[in-house]
Amino acid sequence: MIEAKAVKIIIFQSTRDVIKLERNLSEKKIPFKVIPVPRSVSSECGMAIEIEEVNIVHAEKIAFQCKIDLKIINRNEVTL
Amino acid sequence: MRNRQFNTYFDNAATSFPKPKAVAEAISKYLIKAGGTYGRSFYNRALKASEVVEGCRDLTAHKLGISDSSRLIFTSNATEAINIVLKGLNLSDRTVYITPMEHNAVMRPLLRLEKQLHIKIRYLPNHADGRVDIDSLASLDANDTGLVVINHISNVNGVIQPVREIKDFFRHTPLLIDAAQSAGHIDIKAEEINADFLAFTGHKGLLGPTGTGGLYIKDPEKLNTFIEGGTGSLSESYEMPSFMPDKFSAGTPNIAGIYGLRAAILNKPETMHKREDFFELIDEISQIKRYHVYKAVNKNCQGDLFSIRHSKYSSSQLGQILYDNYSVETRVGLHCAPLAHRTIGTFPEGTLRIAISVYHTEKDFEMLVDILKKIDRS
Repeated sequence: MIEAKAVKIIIFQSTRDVIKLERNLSEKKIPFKVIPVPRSVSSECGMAIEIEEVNIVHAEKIAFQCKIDLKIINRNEVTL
Repeated sequence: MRNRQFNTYFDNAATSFPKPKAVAEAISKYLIKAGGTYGRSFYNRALKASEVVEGCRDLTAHKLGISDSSRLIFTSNATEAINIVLKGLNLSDRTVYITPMEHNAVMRPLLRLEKQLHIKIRYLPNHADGRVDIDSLASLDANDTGLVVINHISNVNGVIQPVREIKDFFRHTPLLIDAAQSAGHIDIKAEEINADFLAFTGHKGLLGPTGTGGLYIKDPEKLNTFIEGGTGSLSESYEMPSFMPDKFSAGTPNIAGIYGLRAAILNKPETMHKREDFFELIDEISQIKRYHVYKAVNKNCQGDLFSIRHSKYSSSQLGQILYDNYSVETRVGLHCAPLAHRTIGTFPEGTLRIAISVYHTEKDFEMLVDILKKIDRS
């Protein structure tokens, strides 16, 4: 079982930004899960991405290349 | 005589027909199998629908020569897109230059703004076919011009406007290109032209379904919102987001239509005639004595449509004969463009318009010429 602290949640400004990251992660076969935006977070759109901490660097790199504005939080710091 | 093998549909400037089969398949797939909303929810169905919408945005942007797809928003048609620009800019007491071939999608909101905001509507100088006379632009007073609007291809005689040259003259003035008749018909490079706004429809040259269209906005911060509502983003706020495309994306988009538009762009068929065949069609009709053809003076400035009149039959009578006797479908009258008809001298009676598609063949053109000859002899 993956420890909660080893999972990150990525929050986005817009649906378009979610799709841009999601598309790139899928193409690179990096595992992730689309989840509802945690209610305890001041959110920008209906979808967030849950990703293992070990893979967050890939997400950050894609975000930088694709000019995606995102916010990364620890899974164990939020409640859905 | 009704010939099922003859493509009788010549009203593609109103809406194109047929569409690629993939368009209907895509829409059906969305409605029956895929479903889902855009953004707003997290489950796979919503994710897939959102992927298709964004994929279509990227495809359409690429097709129109736009590098930042986020600056392309979806609308229900070109008319809505045009209204977003005209009503979103601050044009109070400013001059707006237009071509003399503008459609009512531009004229009606502009004339309302003329009364409400005291804008001054001025016409760009033109040749007899309505094409802007670029050599005479230098005589214009471009001071205090808030906007230039160009009907890229006329929906009456097909004349293509020199958008680059017009923008070169008005380099510091926002330019709105009405690409309703040009998108999907000719190559458009919005950024290369330095267009500030480009309004297009999905259901004509792009071969998509009705209810689709869009607007490219180069500098979104200079345009006020037209509609406010839910965007699925910044949901804790009562303010519309300032980021694109959400700023101009209130409400659920026409997802079924966008599925169809995407399929249309991905499955555009090869054109079934040569350009020379189309020019031959125009030339042949021009040679039938009692027909007058309304087209661009220079064939290099000719879009995929033109108009005709007959000296014996009114355009309505001609349209009726063509349909009742030969199943040929055309549009008669003023084509929602009274200004264009005034410019080319066909107001108030109007004309019969012939608007082709990629699906017309040389044989279809030959058959149309034969029919028009028969009507002329009758």
